[in-house]
Parts: sequence; structure tokens; C-alpha cells
Amino acid sequence: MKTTDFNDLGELILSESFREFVEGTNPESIRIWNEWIAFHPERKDELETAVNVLKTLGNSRKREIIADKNESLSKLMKFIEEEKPKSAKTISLINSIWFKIAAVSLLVIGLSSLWNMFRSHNIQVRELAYNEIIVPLGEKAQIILSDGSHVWINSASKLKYPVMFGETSRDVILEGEAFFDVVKKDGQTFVVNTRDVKVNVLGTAFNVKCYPGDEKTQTIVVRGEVKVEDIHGDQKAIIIKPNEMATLQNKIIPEQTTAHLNSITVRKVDPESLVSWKDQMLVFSGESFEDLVIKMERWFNVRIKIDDTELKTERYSGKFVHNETVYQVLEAIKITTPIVYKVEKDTIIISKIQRKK
Amino acid sequence: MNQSHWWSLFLQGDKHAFSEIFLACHDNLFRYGMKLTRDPELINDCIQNLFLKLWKNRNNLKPVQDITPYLFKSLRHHIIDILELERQTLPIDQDIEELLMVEYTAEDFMISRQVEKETQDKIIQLLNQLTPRQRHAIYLRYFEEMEFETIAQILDMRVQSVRNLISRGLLLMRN
Repeated sequence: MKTTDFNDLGELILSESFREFVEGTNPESIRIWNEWIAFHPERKDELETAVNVLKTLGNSRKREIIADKNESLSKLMKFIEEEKPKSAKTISLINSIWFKIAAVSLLVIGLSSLWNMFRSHNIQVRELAYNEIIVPLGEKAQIILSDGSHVWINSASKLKYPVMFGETSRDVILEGEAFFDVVKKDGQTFVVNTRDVKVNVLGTAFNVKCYPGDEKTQTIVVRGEVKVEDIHGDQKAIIIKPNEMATLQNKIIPEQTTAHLNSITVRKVDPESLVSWKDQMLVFSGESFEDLVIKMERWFNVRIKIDDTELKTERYSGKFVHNETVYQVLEAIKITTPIVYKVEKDTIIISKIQRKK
Repeated sequence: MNQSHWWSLFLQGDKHAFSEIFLACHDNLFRYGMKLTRDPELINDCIQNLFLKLWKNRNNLKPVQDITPYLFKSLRHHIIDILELERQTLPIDQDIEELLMVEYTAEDFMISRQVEKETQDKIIQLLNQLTPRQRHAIYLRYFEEMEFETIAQILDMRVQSVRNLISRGLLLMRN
């Protein structure tokens, strides 16, 4: 760098050569600057001040800090690990008899394929954050939603619900079976969306069942009133009252796979056997063995096969309220129905006892 | 310590990389924060909140070559936000920057034989008479030893403006 007439001292003192001059690290720089001072005697004082300032700044030291970064980091990571979506405190999984933490997974999800299936049915999506509770076979769970509504979710079922309900409606999505005890909120209906029906309520207690393998969806009212709508067909919505069950039989027209010919039938029922699962009671009331076996499979997470077609249509009634095992239940059934069972690999095979003629 | 590599990993959700970034940058950020507001608890909270926000928004962040200026700038904005919240009665024409009071004390400097203590103390006094922006820029240049480009990023200024800011500041100090 040559010492020509630089007027901008400001720029100069930021330069590398000036720094070297100040620090005395480069003889060449020292020479250049001494020359400059000789050429600009009137600015000598100014430069000397600048030299001192830079020397002082060169003495800068990083002070000890009074914060423990490791401690700070642990707090931060702990917060991140425990981070839950807003109003997580309204989700409470109660009743430890039911709930085995390892078995039930609680996921926070954005959009999923199940969700997309419902998009076309005008569900209020907006930007609500959703949770999904997945209850495996043999388990049950109970949750409280952000509006205070209670939901019992049965084995092999999934419920998708917003962490915090929006302003206008309360929408949840069910696959499987759940019992809802909905808190009444003025002007805000509560809607349970399943594959085939939409159940609208204001404030009621009802049971909805629509397992993926089932052809029918059953809605049973214990208290209040619900409106059941067929999502796919042109069926008029039906309102059912306590002790009534609405069954939507899903019939798909063979040639046109997207068309549905559905029927909603309503009949009076005694809800007790149908909703008793939520109180840990396994109740059969005149059910066919075919249905009984399905119920038991879900309840106990076992595989059961009926060996005799005759047996499938036999009916059985019974109540099991003491957390009986599957074998205890089978033994009880044996008392009134002539069956015999054996376990092969991981399947229980039930067959009818042949009466000797 | 390849910080941009850690950053990329962090963007993908790597908690370990995220922790490493925190540990590597914490002390400098803390020191910087302390120079701006001198409130250790506030700074601690700001840094934690800053990192928490980074973690939550990692899907919206871009890969960065040099994370230090990014973090310094973010911290500065964070502090400004908090100060703005606290000082609701700020006069309209007062620049929020004025509140970021970088103040130099004797503890910021070592004593060397190159400069007499008396001279040094005087210079420290003069430093504190510069505008907050000048003090801020000088801190970043001489304490954090940052390049002008980096300082420009942090202060949202053009590089030349940073140079002018610092050089004029230095020249203004006269006995």
C-alpha cells in the first residue's frame, strides 16, 4: 500500500496496515505510516489518539460469564422433550386399570390419508392441531377433550381429535368404537365422523361403532338426541333418542364401486350390553356366536376360530364384570352352551360338542 | 467445529447437533447479550427462547453458511422485542436501539504496557460517549473480532455504513 494523499483517515484506520502499525508487527507498515505522519504533521495528534484507541481496543478481553451453559442446555432440552401442543393439560388418560402406557400411542399429526378421506365432507379443518389416539387390540382408553367431553375408546380403535376445538364446531374422527359423553356447548355441535356416517350431537351420551372390517355402523343413544347422517348416500338424516340404535348397512353396488346403496334402520335396544365395555364389563345379550367371537377377539386381543358353522348362529347371554380372562369366559360359556375349545399355536379354536345319539 | 454441518443436521431434527450448536455459541451470545442489556436473567431467558424457537421452526429455516451472525442477529431482535414489550411508554421518536446500551468498563480491557492506564481509562470514557450504534459496532469488531460483512448482517446495515460508523467513532474520540 502506497502512501499517497489519503484524505479519508477514517477508512485508513480500519485498514490492516494501520493495525499492524499499531501493534508493531510489520516493519513495512510501520514505515508507511511514519511516512504518512511526516507528510501530514497537522494530523499527528489525531493519529496518535487513534493509535491509543486501537491499542486499548486491542486489549479487549472476553469477560467471564455468569451463566452455566450446561445447565441452561439441560433446561432447554427438557422443555423440548416434554413439549406438548397447546392445552395438553386437557388431555388426561385416566383410570390406570385401562391404560397401559406402552400399549397406547398418542400421536400429534398433521394430515394423513384417513384425514384426507374426510376432507371432501366439509369438516372444519383450518389450522387446528390434531392428536390421534390409537388403542391397540385388547386395550381401552379414556380421554377428556378440550371442551370437557369424555370419550372412552375401545380396543383396536382410533380417534382423531383437535387439541383445542375451534369456534364453530367440534369435529372428531373415529375408526372403531367409542363412547362419547359430550358437554353441551351453545351453538356448537359435536360431530363424530366415521367412514360412513356423521353423528351430530349437542350434548349427549352415545356410542358409535364402525370398525374397518364391519359393513355396518351402529350408533346407540344413552342420553339426549343425536342426528345420524349417511355420508355417501342420499339418505335423509335420522334423529335417534335414548335406547335407540341406528344401523347403517353399507351396501356397495357391485358394478359401480363408488355408489352406495345404504339404509339406516332404527330399532329399540337396551344399551347396557352394547356400551358396557366402557365400564370394563364384557356383556353378551343374545348375541350370535359369530358376533360374540369378534367381540372377544377385540376385548382380549386373541384369535378365535369357530370350527362348526352350526355354532355360529347359536346365541349367548352373559355378563363378565371381574376382568375375567378369555379362558374364564370360555369356561363360563361352556356351562350353558355345549362347546369345547383348544388352543393351536396362537389361535383358540371353538367347536361344538357332538351329542352322542 | 463445522458449524454449518451441525446446522444442516439440526434442520433435520438432530437433537445432538442442536445441543452442540447451543454449547458452542452460548457463551459468546451471553456475553453479547450482557453488553446490550446487562440483565443476566433476561439474557438467559432470551437465549433459551431463541433456541426453542429455532427448534420449533426448524422446518422453515434455511441452511446457513455462518450461523454466528444469524444467531447474534436473532438474539438482538429477541432482546429488542422484549424491551419493546417492557417499555410501553417509549417516546415515539426514540430509537429502540438507544436502549441497547453497550457500556464499556475497565473490566472489558486488560492492562498492558502499551497503553498507560490513565490513557486507557480516558479512552474507555470516550468510548461510552459514542452513539449506541457506534459502541455496538465497535464491540462486534473488536471484542467478537467479526468481519465488516458479518457486522453488517447483524446490524442490518450496509458494509460501507458499518465502516463509516466505526471509523468515525474512533476518530471522534479526542482528549
